[in-house]
Amino acid sequence: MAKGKRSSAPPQAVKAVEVSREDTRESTKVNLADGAALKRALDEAASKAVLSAGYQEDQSISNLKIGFSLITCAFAALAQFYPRKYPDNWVLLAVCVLGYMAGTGVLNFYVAGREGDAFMFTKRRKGLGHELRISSSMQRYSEWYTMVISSSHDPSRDSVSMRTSVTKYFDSTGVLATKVLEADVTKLLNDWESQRKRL
Amino acid sequence: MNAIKSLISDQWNALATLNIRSLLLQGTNLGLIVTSALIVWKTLILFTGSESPIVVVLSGSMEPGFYRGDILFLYMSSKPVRTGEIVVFNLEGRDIPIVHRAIKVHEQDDAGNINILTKGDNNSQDDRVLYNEGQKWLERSHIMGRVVGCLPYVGQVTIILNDYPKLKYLLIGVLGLFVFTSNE
Repeated sequence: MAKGKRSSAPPQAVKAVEVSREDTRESTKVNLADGAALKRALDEAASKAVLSAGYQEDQSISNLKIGFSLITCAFAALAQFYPRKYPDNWVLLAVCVLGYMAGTGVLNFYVAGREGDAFMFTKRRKGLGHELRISSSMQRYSEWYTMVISSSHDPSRDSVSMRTSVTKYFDSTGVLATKVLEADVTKLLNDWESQRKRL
Repeated sequence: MNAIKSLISDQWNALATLNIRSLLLQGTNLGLIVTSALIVWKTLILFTGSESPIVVVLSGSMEPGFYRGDILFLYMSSKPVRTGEIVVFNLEGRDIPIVHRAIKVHEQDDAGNINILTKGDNNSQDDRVLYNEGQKWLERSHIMGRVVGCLPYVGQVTIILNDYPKLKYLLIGVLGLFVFTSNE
């Protein structure tokens, strides 16, 4: 009996020290009054958790966004730096203006429409059905952070979500407890996977 | 002061941990904001037919109609210039356009080629003293546009920014700081 107790006590102590050292190594400190920064920190940590759970990030929409933004800016740069002056260059100007408007139209309606409030998309994981769409929302001045995992093709169909208060993840100085968040995200991922298996 | 220092260092830390992709996303975002203002200007150029649709009055040669610091809106249609219209014109070799009134117009032929003589309302002589050596008339190609609207006093800001260029850099720096620190 006594032998069992003695052998169980030291490992506990060692584990506690290891956890706190890891936390301080990758601790992110956020200004607690800045709601947008809190959400951003949670989204980033959740992305890392999803990646470490074995999913690969699908960056096609992000690439689309960057590509279209660059093209649109290129139209504007062309209009500005073309060597001929107005009114000789009015055809080029018209083309650039129309190209710019088309680019911003695509960006705002198509790309943003596909992305919505999602902050991460993943590719299909081996053995499982769907690509994931991970989104989150947090209202202004609210403490509640809602994270939704759904299929990226049909987000309205099935989804799992969790709603937690940010007070669970941040301490009073603004340090993010990454392990706690990772545990919650992993649990949500498991919920999703078991839901997919059932169907 | 300390609050500003910690704000800047927080932002710097946030920026320093970003990877290429995030930098690209933020950079293109900023680029879109800047270029949208540029495109609005180019669209105005296309719509008004004038290469500089908004100008600031820099001299008092059109008083009491326009004072130094007024903003003028220009529009250029294909209708020929008539006497009495206030036009803004460019002279070859000079980069600052002049806003005066057309007082004489001669039509050369039916093709719409006209010769124009201008004079500032507040000047005692016509603009032949301003024109280039040997130039007695303005032609349509010199005209940037007709004045169709005026906004008094607002142009003083542009004049001050031009006279004190350090203010311009300060303004841009402050605006850039705002864009970076208000990232929602």
